[in-house]
Amino acid sequence: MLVEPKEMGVAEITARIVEALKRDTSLSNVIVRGELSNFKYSGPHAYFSISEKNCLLNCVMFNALYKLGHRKIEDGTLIKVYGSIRVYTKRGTYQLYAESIKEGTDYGVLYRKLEELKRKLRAEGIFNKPKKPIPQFPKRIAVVSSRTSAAFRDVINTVKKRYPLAEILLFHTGVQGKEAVRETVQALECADSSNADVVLLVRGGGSVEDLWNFNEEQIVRKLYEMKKPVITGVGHETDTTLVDYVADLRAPTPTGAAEMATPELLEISGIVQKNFKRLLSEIGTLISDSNERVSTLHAKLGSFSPKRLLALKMQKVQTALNDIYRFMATKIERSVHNVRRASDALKYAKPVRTTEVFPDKVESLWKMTKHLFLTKMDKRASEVMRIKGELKLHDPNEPLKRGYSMVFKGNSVVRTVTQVKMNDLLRVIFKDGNVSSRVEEVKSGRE
Amino acid sequence: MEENKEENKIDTLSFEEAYKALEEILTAMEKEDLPLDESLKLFKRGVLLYRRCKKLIDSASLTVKEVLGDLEKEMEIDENSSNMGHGTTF
Repeated sequence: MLVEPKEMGVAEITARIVEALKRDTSLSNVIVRGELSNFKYSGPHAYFSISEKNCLLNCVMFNALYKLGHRKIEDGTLIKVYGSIRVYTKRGTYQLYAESIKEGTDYGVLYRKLEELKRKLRAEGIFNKPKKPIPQFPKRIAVVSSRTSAAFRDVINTVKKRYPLAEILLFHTGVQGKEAVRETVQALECADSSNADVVLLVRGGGSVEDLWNFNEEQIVRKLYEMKKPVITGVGHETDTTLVDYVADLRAPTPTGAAEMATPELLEISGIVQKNFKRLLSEIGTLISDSNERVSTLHAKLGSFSPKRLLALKMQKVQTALNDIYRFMATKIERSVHNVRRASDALKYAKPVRTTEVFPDKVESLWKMTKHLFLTKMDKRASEVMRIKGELKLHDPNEPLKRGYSMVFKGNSVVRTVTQVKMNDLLRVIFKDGNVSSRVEEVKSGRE
Repeated sequence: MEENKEENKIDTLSFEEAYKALEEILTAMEKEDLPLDESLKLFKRGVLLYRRCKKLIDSASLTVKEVLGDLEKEMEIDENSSNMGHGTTF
């Protein structure tokens, strides 16, 4: 359900806030504890703040000069202020209108001492000690605590729930009072020399005084010297003591310390289960891979087997045989077809026809042959005649017949006067005989 | 014979040792170049380690002992787990 926002002026809202605060009667009659800061006088009045943890309250004390007798209160002092909470409407703030102040001087001194110690230890580098790693799976967990404390019970319950594989070793110590400081140091020492993997220093919540021992220098220095990793879990989340600065791990509570010291078994069990599954699947894959590889090899081997080669050859032979069969079948079919066609043709053929045609064919062939033969003979005869005439033309005896003569010197015909010298014996041949003669004169030219 | 030895050895491992060894075996097995018989050996060991882890997880029950500082003598504390948490003993 939505309610319409009301519209109002600043004066009205302020009045309503004033009314609202008035309704809580405890606010108008209250004692507030806190640490004082920024105390100052302004005229007769004093202004200051008190704080606790992260909260701050502004205070004003009218006529403080008179009420406090001119005394100035130091910063850091723990005080109790009696007064009432009211709204300062001009500034829009609320503050504590103080009537009286009671100082808890002890706390102030303690805090100052604590700050001093902190500074000293920090300067020594004690807080900068390198942190030791906390083992993931502790076999034994040393617990420095009171055996009757709620803190120890919390640790047992937490470890039991999370990681019951571990063993808890209790190093009992009182936790309050000066005596407890010595006890705690001793317990820490025993824990450090035990066979535990990690040491828990735990203490449940309590007042500042209750937890004060965990600010003691001796305990802080003992923690600094420890060889085993230490987890502190002192008080509640908001409490910080000096041991937290030197611990290897700081937990807000004893339960938190036990959690930091242990893994969650359920989670670990899940991981183990998952790892086992991974193992199974890994080996499964490996085996099936190997199987596949062997199968491949087997198949390859098979392809080289003589059986297979034989089968291949057999197949070739079979193919060839098939070809032959097919070829023969075609051939037979074709022959059958031819015979059938021939026999069909025979059915319609006249046996006389051939003998009728034959004599004519023979006659014409004879004539043709005769003609060819005669023509060839004529050609040859005229060729012979022609060659005969040509031969006659070249006969050397022909010119002799017409009255010319031939002159020889030895066995050669004399064709030119240059072949002849004086006294050469020449033979002159006529158509009807020959004469031997000796040369008496040789002349060139025709005269 | 040797397997028995191996099994006995694994049976004495702490949870952390068995757990870490199982993880190491997985890492080794996930490397591809491992021969098959090597992998099978690792696998067998892995199964034993798994059983060891499982046994420890299933049978885990918290033990609490008090160490008496000066005497350094461990003594069993009456650990009735059902009582614990109700503040009767602690």
